[in-house]
Amino acid sequence: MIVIKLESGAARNQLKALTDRIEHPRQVLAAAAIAGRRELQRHFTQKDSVGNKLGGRRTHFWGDVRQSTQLGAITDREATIDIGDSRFAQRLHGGMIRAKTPWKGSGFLLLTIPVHPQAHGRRASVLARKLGIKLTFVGSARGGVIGHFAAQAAADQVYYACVPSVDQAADPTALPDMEKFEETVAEAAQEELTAQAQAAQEQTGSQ
Amino acid sequence: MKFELSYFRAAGVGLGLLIMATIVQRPIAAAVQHVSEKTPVGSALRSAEWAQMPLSLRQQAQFSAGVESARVLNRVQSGVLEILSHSRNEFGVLTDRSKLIADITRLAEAEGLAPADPSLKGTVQDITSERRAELIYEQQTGQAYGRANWKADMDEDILNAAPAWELVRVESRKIPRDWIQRWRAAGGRFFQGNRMIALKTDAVWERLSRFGTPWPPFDFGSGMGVEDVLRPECIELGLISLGTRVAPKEFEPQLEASVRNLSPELKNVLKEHFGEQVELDGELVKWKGGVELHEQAAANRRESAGRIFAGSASALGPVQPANDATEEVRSVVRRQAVVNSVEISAVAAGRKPLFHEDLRYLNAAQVEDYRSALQKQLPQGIIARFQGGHLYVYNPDLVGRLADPKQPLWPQVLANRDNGRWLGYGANWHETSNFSTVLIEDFNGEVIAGFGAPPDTAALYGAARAQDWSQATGGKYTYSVLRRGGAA
Repeated sequence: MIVIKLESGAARNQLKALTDRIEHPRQVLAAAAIAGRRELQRHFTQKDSVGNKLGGRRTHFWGDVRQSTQLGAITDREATIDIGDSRFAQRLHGGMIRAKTPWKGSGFLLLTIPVHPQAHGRRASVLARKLGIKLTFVGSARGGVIGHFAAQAAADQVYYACVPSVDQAADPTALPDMEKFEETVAEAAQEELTAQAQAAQEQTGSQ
Repeated sequence: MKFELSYFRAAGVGLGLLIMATIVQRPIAAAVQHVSEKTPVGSALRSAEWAQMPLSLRQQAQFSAGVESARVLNRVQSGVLEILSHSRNEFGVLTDRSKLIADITRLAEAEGLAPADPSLKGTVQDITSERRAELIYEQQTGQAYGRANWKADMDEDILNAAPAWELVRVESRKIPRDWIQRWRAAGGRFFQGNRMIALKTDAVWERLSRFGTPWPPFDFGSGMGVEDVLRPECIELGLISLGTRVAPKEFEPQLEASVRNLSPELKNVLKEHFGEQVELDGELVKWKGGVELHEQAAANRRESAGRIFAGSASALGPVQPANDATEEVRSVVRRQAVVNSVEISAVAAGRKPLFHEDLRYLNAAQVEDYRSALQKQLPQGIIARFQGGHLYVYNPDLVGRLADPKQPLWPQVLANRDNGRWLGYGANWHETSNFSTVLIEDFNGEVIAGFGAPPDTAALYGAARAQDWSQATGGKYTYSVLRRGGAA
């Protein structure tokens, strides 16, 4: 087997010549993209292994993002990795979320933000049915809370905060470390180039 | 919102080859297509019975075990499509997981689909429960993304960049299942200890999957997924050699083969379970839709089965034995009248091809009177005949599928009156030993009937015949499939 050292000037010259002869530039891009997909999926799996801040039951948000991470178009010059989960951008960039759907009956424009572990990942209607309790909104069009308010104040329990908008902070760890990601992608491309170069060299040698 | 991150990097040293990897958030077209091509199909079948359905029909059906409600099934499909395609409502809000779960549970409750059995409340068998709705969401999105991923990976360049998958845990579970054992049972090879790795084109993935598909998820709520194994590692592990190009695998022919040249018995049992929703004419069996009509027709059939059963049982029960008989014999006659009436009502409801019983031990004149009254009750086209002391009730459409079309039907009915294939059991245990024994049990677990059915579709026949009892009597009946040697 002939080993080509990419650092050497001779190899560089050899590879420069080979680049023009690469029969499969798309294969190089495919190798890069698939390594990138794997890196992203590993990162999302790692994030999914951490529970939510409220300590509620898991909804596996990051697991959803992981499975929606797919290869997009790959050509001879570029590759795309798609993330299909529509909620991901908000996590990555953060930003203002405003209530848009008016509440039935009142027409209030309020978001319901879970503040209780049992409310995590659940709509108020689902939680009420799950717990077999009546949930009541206390507040106005400007905001309030949704909770179970029993006859005795000690039994009161607030499950959601209701606000017209919320400014969500960006998650700086939504994507993996970009330097490492780039390295992984480039390394995979380089390995594929090396393999193609080896194959070409073997072919030349056998002629 | 759309964002784009671009990375430009020269790969290699001064190669001048520019590599651009772009990460984009957008709908996955193949996943959207996977769901949009499905046909909503309603049926009372449970998961184990769906698992015995031809693969193509399963893949192309938008179904949920035990759900006949058109509204629920339509909402599942539209909701999953909204999620996958990033659709927004009239206020510009995206549908997400929690919204879909809330919609399914609310709708199912409004449709009155909560289980009558209190022990099933809140379980995955309860379509009004959050747990079941979550399972639907996970399964539907998982299958859509899984298939899209598989299709992308069957591109030759991509496949050869990462020819294999490793089965890995991607989500934690409180009580993880033994996937090492399942991998071994599926014929999977182990590498470097317990690493479960196989080429993406290896049939082990289909054998591993509860759903018969080569992509994850491989089971309900498993928490298992796959990770790419890149080409250099595949070479190192000896899965491929340096110059090997792995050829992509097509799954479509496998799907098509699963619905080609099905036996007429299987077609009949499909008709029993799905009615007009399934198209049986022609070489390929396929869905033709109509879940709303089916829901109404199923309700009508249940009502009709109950009515015919009640009428038949009350008329047949008092028929006297031909000779003087003890009270014990009369008691047996009354009990048998119930069994016969259940089966007759199943034929009347279009669910069973043929009923036959030797009634020579009963007063012939009284049986003929009963038959005459029964014929007036039966839906148009269903025939009741009493000949030589034997009673026959049959559905010419269903038995017609089993008969030689060039020969007159009635002599063939007579010739096949004890043939399990004609009686709706799928196998004739007088002519083959290749069958599984199916037992029908009442709510006390008491066995009330048994028959032989083809091993690979025994659950479909068991469900059909247990439904005969449930629909006729309104009670709860189940079935067991015995393995060879008698174990359930």
